Amino acid sequence: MFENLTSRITTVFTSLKRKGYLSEKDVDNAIRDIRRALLQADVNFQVVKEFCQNIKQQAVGERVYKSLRPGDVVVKIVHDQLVELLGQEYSPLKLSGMPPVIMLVGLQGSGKTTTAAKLANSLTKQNYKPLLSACDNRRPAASEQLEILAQKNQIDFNPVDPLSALKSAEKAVEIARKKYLNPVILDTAGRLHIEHQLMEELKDIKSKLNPSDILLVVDAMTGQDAVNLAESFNKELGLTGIILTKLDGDTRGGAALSIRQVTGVPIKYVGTGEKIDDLMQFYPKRMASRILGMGDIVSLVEKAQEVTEQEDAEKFARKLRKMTFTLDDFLQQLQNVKKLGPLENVLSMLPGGMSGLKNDAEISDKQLAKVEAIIRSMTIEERNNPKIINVSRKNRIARGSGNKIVEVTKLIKQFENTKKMMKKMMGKQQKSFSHLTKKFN
Amino acid sequence: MNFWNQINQKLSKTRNNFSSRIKETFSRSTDKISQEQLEELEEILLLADLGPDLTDYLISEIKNENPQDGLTKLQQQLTDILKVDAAEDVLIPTSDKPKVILIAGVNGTGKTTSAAKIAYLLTEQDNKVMLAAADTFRAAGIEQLENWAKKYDFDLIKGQYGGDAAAVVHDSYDAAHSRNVDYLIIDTAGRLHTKKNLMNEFNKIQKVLNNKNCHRCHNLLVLDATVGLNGLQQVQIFNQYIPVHGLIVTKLDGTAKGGCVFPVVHQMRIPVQFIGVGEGIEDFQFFDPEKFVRGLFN
Repeated sequence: MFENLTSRITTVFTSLKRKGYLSEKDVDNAIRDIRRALLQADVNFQVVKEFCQNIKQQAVGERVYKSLRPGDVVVKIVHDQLVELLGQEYSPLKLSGMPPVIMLVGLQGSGKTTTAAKLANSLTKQNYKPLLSACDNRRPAASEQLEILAQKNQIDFNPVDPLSALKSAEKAVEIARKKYLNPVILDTAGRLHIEHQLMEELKDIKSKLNPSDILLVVDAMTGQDAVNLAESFNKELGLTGIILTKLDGDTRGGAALSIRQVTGVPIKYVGTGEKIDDLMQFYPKRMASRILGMGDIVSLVEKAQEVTEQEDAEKFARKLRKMTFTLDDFLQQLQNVKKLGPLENVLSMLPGGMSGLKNDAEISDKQLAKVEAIIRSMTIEERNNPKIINVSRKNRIARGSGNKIVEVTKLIKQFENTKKMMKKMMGKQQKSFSHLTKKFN
Repeated sequence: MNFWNQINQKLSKTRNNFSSRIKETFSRSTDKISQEQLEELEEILLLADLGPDLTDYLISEIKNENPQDGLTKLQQQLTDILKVDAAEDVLIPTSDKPKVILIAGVNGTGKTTSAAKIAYLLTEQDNKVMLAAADTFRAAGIEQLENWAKKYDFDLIKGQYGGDAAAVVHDSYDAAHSRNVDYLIIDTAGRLHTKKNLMNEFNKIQKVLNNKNCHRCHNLLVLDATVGLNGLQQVQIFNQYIPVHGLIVTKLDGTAKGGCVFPVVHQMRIPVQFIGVGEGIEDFQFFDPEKFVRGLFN
């Protein structure tokens, strides 16, 4: 996500931070580089222009030149401006009405149908009982697509009325009332923002059903035109929020950085993958940190909490303290890491030079799989007490997991070493560590 | 005090389309293009997704001209950029049938619709065409192509969800071969170019085709006209996995003028071959660089 922009801006910052004194020319050069980086990243031309003017205006104030660490001041200014661009605070859905209606709109191929299913899934986790309603009677098999996604994730579904999008939506609301489902999510047909007849269809649905949330789904890879289309939709329908999709590509962030600023409509969610869980709430500050290469630890910890059962975590912490953890526990921890998504994604949330780590991440994913295979080829006795693993057992494990004996030996050794190291650490920091585990549970 | 409030007003100026703004810019003064005009031109080109590198290049090319010649030269330059000879004409059939056309691209660019449109175009020219639905990933991806096929009576070979796309390619090639089909059009699943595992699927498809002695598969990459400079990245990376022979630019009926094709073609030397201009099956044309650029300026 945003790697391109991040690496460019990080380069600018590194050279700034190296200097103890910044002349006006240094700042000008930095701003020029940032401007180019933003343009390369598809950020709207006007937004870039204003952004750079603002930075300059603040930077030429005495602050930067009198500061002991002038580079840091510039970074701070850029960070604050980015947060301003992205919209300060997280903006949740309104979800008002009986039942609340969410309408998804957007161009063809922006990812409305997939997003509708993801949104329903995320609301289910917050104990809502959403109803997915297909309102796309134009694209072949659009209704089927949503139906398949709904079925797969046990979400209630209302098929499209082939003759009228409005009728499909009205019927969905009726069903939702009867079955006490809430909210109703309307997946409308993709349309260009300049097709007036199709816009009328959406306006009709809006005036009849009065949706509390009208969300525009935008492909994050959209170029300069992102602003135009968001403005047209906003003017016609009065958007309440934006969902950016396909952020898992090497998107440069142009749309993300431009749309909120120009339309004033907040970004609410971002789509980060093809799986049903790959929808994240959008936090401007965290995103700004991420763009500037400072990582997003908060989101990572939250995600970790989401995938780990509290009970399991406590059990593991207890075992750690008593030094009784086994290869089985190790395996479980590995699986938790895997639940966080590909290592590549996890790494991109950490601060610092993630670009260098990325290639390693691919290898590491494979290594994780290897370790898993080896442990799974052991008997329960062997997992609890690796000391009993002799040559013959090693041979069997190696064959069973499709690895060489050396690799089995290496894993067991690593495990023992880790345990030894833990023991040392525990002895020294028993107190602080137990404090830490408590905090994370 | 919020500086950003002013942005909206300024944007309304830029919202006027490319052609009228460019004409307005070049209509002033007579002997030499002024600095102010160059800055305006920079803005116009950047707003059209041409990107800073190509924009700088174009400006350096015309900055010493007078406005009249400058405009002509700019138009000429842009046309020249797009005039890239195709390595191979899509329409010339191979000696051993069928000729394979593979459609690839990121999610939501319009691959399935384009596949159907090409099938229609080729059928209109009296070719025997078969479609292969090799998008075994997206929910209802196969049904979408199937609906088109039913409506226009195309032959279709489909796979199963979660199945192997390469297997569909294998089966459809055999079927097309035995039915003496002229063109086999393969619709693949959308994939982001950053997903290595998905991209590797192309190697497998290629291998299957090689084993069939089909070495001249024509690979078309579908680009969405609204895409920004990311489009360049897409073409570059797809090209590392399968040789991209041509581009299809879709959704040109919107406000986006597909300006990203300029940096893409300029750098990659891969020609645009088709453009999609609407939702109807006949809203699909062969690409003509001169017409395309003229369309931008008129």
